Amino acid sequence: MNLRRLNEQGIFQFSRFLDSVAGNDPWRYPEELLTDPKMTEKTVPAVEIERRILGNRFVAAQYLFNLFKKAGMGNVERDRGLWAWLSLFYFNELCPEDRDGRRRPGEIARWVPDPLSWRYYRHLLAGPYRIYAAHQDKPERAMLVLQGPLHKPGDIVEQFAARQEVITNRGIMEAASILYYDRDGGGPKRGAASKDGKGTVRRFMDILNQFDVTWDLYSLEAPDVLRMLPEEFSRFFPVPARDELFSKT
Amino acid sequence: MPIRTINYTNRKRILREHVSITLNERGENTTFDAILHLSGYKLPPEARVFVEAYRQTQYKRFDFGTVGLVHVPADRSLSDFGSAEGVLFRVKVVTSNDPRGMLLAEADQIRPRKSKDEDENRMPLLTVMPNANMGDEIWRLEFDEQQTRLFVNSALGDWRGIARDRVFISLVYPSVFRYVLWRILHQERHFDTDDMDDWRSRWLRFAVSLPGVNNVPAEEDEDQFDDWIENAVYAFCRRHNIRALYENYWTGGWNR
Repeated sequence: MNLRRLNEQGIFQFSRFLDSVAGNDPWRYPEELLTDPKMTEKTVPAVEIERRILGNRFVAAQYLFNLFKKAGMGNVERDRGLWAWLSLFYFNELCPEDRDGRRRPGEIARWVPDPLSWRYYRHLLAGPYRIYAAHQDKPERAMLVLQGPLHKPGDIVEQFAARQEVITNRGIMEAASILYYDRDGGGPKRGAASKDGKGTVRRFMDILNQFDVTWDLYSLEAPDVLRMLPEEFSRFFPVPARDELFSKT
Repeated sequence: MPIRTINYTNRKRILREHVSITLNERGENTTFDAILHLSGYKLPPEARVFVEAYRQTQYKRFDFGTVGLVHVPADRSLSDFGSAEGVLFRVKVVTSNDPRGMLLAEADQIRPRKSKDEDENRMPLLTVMPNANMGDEIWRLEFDEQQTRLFVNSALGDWRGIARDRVFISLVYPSVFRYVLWRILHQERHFDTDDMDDWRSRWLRFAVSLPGVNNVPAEEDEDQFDDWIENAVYAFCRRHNIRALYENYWTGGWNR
């Protein structure tokens, strides 16, 4: 299918559909809205997009990033109609049925991005895309916030993505992924997302706020950040332990 | 974000008069010019200089070279922010090495001057901004550490016009004023009127400048907060002839 973008009328129709899904009398999936010439417009250049299972946030972001790059589409980040269309296109994966057979779309920011708000990162596709684009030279450094299924970004993403100077910061995101991303398990390490406890992601954010008073966080590289962390974070350091990792630097 | 009060590393505070940021607005393609006077701060010439633009959680960083050799970047676009309304600036001078990235000097919450704006020191209390994702809401008030923002539903069309509309002003602004004061006293527990870098102090100072409004109640006088707020809102409405604005509309004095 050719990629399109929803116009304001199309966005309004899409939001009505989402409202119905959230209620007790869900409408059927509005497939025709994807190509309705009154509700959508073509992109320039024309881009062929596959309806496929994206699988997780990283794969989705990678697929869309390469798609737009290959097509020479610039400045897509703030194109809310485009992202709204994409989230309608992939609706089935982005809003799977739960055990009771119900779909729960959640807040509108997950479906129609607000380019001027921090809620932009809550968009289920534009969020991971934007993170991937910010780390395009080495997207694995942001693996902690690019892992996981598309419909459940999770609390860790919320913690980092709420601050653009953090989510786009190479040193911080690499340090966070070293600390909290379980390469073998393909997800966050156990206990990383706890709301309290030592060395958790929340504590990491607290410590960053303290560092921010004295340091220019953007100038720091991952080893700088890791070296400065207090002892409480040692339980999340990979083997070899912190001292062995950094004693030679 | 952090409370910037303890200074363990003797970083210097760059005075506002030594930083001048001017916006060049061309629709959504706004750029900025920055003039920095850093020579009086005895900073090492190799120290790096960065200018950061930010609004709420949006952020963009510009590399201005070093103290000894300031290099103005060619790309000073703020298009990532959409409208540049409410964008603030921060200037950082940081060590280039050993240790890398330590803050040596900083100026924060720099409000840019618009190129057509005569008054460089104007600091609006309320930044009005568009928001297309407000559904059926007409306006929404949001706070962050730097400012208070009034979002107007831009899906309605001319959001600037809405914000200037007399009915909107008469119905919305007193409520905004009441809520801001409520928030400052009850939630923020802020009572200082002297720190003009702090949005809360600026609002409180504005309130006490209104005719008939007493000094801000002390923190321990919580039972006086609500009366003081009501009195301030009353004075605000009187000062701005809010009733007449609405009455003119309601009685057909101008097109309804």
